Amino acid sequence: MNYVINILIILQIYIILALSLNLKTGFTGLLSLCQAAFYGTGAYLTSILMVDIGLNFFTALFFAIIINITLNASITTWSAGRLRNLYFTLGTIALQIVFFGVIYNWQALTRGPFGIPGIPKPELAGLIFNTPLKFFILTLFFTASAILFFYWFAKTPLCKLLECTRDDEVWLTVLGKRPAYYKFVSISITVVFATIAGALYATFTSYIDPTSFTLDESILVLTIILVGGTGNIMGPVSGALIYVLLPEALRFVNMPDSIAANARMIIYALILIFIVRLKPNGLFGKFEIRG
Amino acid sequence: MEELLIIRDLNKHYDGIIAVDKVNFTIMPGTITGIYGDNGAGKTTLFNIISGFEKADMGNIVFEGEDITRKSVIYRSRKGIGRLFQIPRIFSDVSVLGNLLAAGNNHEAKYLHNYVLKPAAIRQNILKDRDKAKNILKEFNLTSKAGLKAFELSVGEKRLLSLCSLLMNEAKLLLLDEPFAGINEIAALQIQNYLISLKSRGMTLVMIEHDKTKLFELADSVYEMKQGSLLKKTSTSHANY
Repeated sequence: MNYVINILIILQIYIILALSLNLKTGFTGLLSLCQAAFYGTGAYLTSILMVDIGLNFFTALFFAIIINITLNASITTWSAGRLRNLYFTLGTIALQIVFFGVIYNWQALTRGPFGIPGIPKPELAGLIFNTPLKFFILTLFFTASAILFFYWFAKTPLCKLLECTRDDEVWLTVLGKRPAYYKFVSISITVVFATIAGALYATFTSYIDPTSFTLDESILVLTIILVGGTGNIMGPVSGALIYVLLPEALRFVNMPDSIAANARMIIYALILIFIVRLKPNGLFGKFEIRG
Repeated sequence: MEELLIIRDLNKHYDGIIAVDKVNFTIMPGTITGIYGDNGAGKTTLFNIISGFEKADMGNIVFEGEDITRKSVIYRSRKGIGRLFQIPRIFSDVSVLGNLLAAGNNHEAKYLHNYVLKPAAIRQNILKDRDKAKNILKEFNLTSKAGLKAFELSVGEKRLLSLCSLLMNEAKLLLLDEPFAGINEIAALQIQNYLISLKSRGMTLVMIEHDKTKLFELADSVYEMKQGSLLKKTSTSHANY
């Protein structure tokens, strides 16, 4: 039972991550490969604030969001104002690499490759989320909130302006609107939810190290929304379902032990290629991802 | 009546090549001004400078009595300068109605916190904008296309949509870069009629066009642009419009 609950917790963390990237990449058209940097900053800040300063999970999360927006959203918006299309994507890769370099080498703060162990479980009014089921309920609360938020937000005039930023920045400027502002809004919301996902991941595993927040992780989250599709809620959710549940389902395909792991990855990759080939905009995609 | 736009001694050079050469002219409110000239004569550069996409090397632009020479595109747009591009610019993946709503001036809806603090004001503005957008679409015969994605429109319709967006944005001066390019005669006639109706409503239009006859038919003043210089050709009266 705990096995299923643990998988569902991881699934929800990826749903939050994919939904937040969907806003930046799908709605606003900022093809970005630094989601793991946002996510990792959230995880590290929450962990440091909880372990070193002794803050409660929710207080640590609040400050982690503020700091993450100040750091990452500002830098990303600044580069989005100066770099266009694939150059912006390259800029986000640079941000991701710099982030990894910082958490790997700033040992006084992050303990570098040794990681941060003993991250306490979240606690709210005496209730400690220290069992898989309790943690699942906490994660469910955040995931449901994220889904409801993005469902509501997609209908607001503000979100329409993010879509307009994606479609034609020049025209938006001619109409007297400031594209940089809308990019900042989009990136900031992305950072907020990536921080939540990072905080949940850190407290769920009780241990984090730099290997969880590499460029590979950013590519993976992008793959999730590529497969599921962008511009709506169903896309990222279905992408995360496929990413997390499909490899688990493949465990039940009987194969000789010597080739099982590699064969499962090959089957998984083939299924992904098949989906992308059949539905270039993703399973439920509203927009094409532009670079 | 006070001039809407005054251009004084405007100059623009690119690596020694003269693009705009000491251009002077004034635009009165409620008029149509036409500019024609060969390719490379500097017409689009002149529009780029007036709308703020390029900076002039020398000279001044005064709009409604304010010197806007060094102001940004956004500032000029908010003052009321609207620009229509030769290749129509639209928000292609957004609906036709959505394009107009995005062009509206719902300032409250810009800020996320207002959705919590001032939801009533936002709702009211959305309803107001929606009514206004629907009226504009009706006037330009685009009501039946309101729900379509903008990329599904024909070139002529896209141009009309751009024009509608500028009206939604409450532009006072419209800079139209070849509004009749690339469309059939029926669509061109339709646009022509809309431009006349805009003028009759007191809007001010400046138009770049290759088709001289169309300009002389439509405009109150016509200029020829030649190697960056602007030469006044004629002044006509269109009281019958």
